[in-house]
Amino acid sequence: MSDRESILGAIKAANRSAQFAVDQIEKEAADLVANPEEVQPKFEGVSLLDRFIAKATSERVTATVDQVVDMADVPVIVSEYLSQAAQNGAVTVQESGPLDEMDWSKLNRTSVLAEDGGIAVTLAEFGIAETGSVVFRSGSHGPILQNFLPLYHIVVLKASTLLAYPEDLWSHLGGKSAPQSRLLTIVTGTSGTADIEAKNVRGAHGPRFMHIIVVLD
Amino acid sequence: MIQTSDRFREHVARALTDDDLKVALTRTTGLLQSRRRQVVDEYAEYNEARSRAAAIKDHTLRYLGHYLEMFEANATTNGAVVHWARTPAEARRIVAKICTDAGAKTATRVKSMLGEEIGIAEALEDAGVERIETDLAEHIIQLAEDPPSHIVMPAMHKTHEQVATLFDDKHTVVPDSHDIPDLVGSARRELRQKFLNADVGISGANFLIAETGAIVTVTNEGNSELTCTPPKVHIVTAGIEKVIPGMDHASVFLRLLSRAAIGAEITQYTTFYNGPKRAGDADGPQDYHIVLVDNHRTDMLGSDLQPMLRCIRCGACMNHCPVYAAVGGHAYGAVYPGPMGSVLTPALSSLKAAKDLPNACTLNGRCREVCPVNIPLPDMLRSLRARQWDAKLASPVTKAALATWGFMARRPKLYHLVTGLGVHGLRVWAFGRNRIRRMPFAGGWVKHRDLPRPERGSFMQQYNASEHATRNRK
Repeated sequence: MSDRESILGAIKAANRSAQFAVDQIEKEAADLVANPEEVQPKFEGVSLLDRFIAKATSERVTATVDQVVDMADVPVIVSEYLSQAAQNGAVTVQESGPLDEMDWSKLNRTSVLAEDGGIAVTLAEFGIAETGSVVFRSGSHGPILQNFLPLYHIVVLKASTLLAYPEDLWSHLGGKSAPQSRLLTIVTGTSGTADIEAKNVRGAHGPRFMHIIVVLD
Repeated sequence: MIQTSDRFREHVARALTDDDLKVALTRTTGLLQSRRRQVVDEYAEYNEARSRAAAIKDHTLRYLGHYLEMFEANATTNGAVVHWARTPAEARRIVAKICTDAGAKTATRVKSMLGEEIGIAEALEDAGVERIETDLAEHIIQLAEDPPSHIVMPAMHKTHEQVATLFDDKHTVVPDSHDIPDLVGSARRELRQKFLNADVGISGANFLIAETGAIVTVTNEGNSELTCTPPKVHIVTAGIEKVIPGMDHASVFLRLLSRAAIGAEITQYTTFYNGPKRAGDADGPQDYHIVLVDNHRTDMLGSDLQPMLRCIRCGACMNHCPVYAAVGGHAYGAVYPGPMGSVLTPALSSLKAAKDLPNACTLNGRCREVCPVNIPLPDMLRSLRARQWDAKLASPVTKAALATWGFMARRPKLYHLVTGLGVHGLRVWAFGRNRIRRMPFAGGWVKHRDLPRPERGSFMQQYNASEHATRNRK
């Protein structure tokens, strides 16, 4: 007997009473997550954008946020941010999608991100207001590692892609039978660790600084 | 790691005289408790989320076969190769073979307790693969050649001074200073190239999503994504109890897991992996394997230990356990320490090999109180004690003490006389001070702490006196 048969056989023996039709299991599973508002932290009276900014810039998340009205202003904001941070190194900008076509002539743009200490600008697909998180997926639009390798991670987020809760994100992914990207990540602030004496330190393996530029589209 | 739970008493004796351990535990447990308290208090929907999470796990366990087959089918459609292992030995064989077939020389690894449980380190050694631990705490204990002492923070037993000495000794470039941020920076520098050059990346999974076939990792460091993207092979090892029905169910757990584990509303990186590199993807592994491991979980299913299979490995029970806070994780001599470990270790090995663990508990109930999936840990520890008694594993001292107590409890007059005398005796022995520091024949009780001087009179003496006074007043 294979290990698969042996494990599934042992489960069947242990769960003798559980002989139900699949549609009944599905109904039970759906009932367990009905009315998601009962478990979602409330932020009534606060706009998605205000909640997002409050959470993203909170002490625990440690991102900084800028807002621009026009997408075309993003490169200027990036330059200003980097000069304030006294960073003049090469900048890697996501090569496909709207960021690529912008005027980056004021910056030293490079297509190869440094193995460490680099600066990357990427476009988030969604933002989540509940926790101040940004969402990225792997694909042909650029290496997913651009979101994990740099020291400075500059994220461009369109305000129109802000969602209230992660439950809202799942419905944007095309449902359970839609093909999914290899990787989907919900990033909340900078890479951190509390592994030495439970002290929170930033820049563990990933970015130490995250700057989010919200485009009010 | 080799289980040494049968030497619990010996380990405890050593732990209680380890001053560095005392410092390390004092610096961490209080901080973890207050951080958790704060975010749980702020989350008004906590109780509803907690009862839903327990109900979702119970539901999934009831139809575990159905959900595992659904997960397998969807993961396979996504491009995963799904393996099943009844035992740790089989899991090790599968992992070693994948590495050998890939011609791997190095493997980066994201911390997973299941990996520790099945002995991933041994599997890689057998396959001649250099193992690179990427979680900071795992990196520390790999260099120190220590076993993990906590399931979320495996290096909790180390002070930053000890880590500094270790990095000075072992890192290619020594740390810039002995401050914690520079120690973190030194590990970043040491591991960077290894991340990018590894042949295989190995992760665990916090959740397996049946309806999509995704596996989920939850980290703060971002080491999971750096481990699972550059190499040509990604291997996931996960316990079969990690499966949950769907993405909406995952949301319920994600809110609870990070609050309970580290006192944060969400961890920095919550990542869903759906398979190998897709056509056109800019990066990602060519091959993707998932190893589903049983290792006695099916024995727990349908038994009185089944609620333990709800566990999401947050570590809150150990952060709030007075026994863990006094002796640390190594004393338990097993992969899983603290209250959850005291239930799990006997189930994964044997009651005999772990016989002291269910007794290393004061039944104060804090572990259950802070458990995000409401596992009745004290009840389970009590039932393990009863099983020990039935299996005649109780020590002669315990047997004699219980027999004496039983004899007295059946003779209330004698019982009250003896306890009353005992209280009086202790008050005399305190010599007017508030603390008792020495105790003839029972030195162990006061070796590492003082006993407070008892109140005047036993409970019954005080109760009777107050009843008497009340009646006189009427």
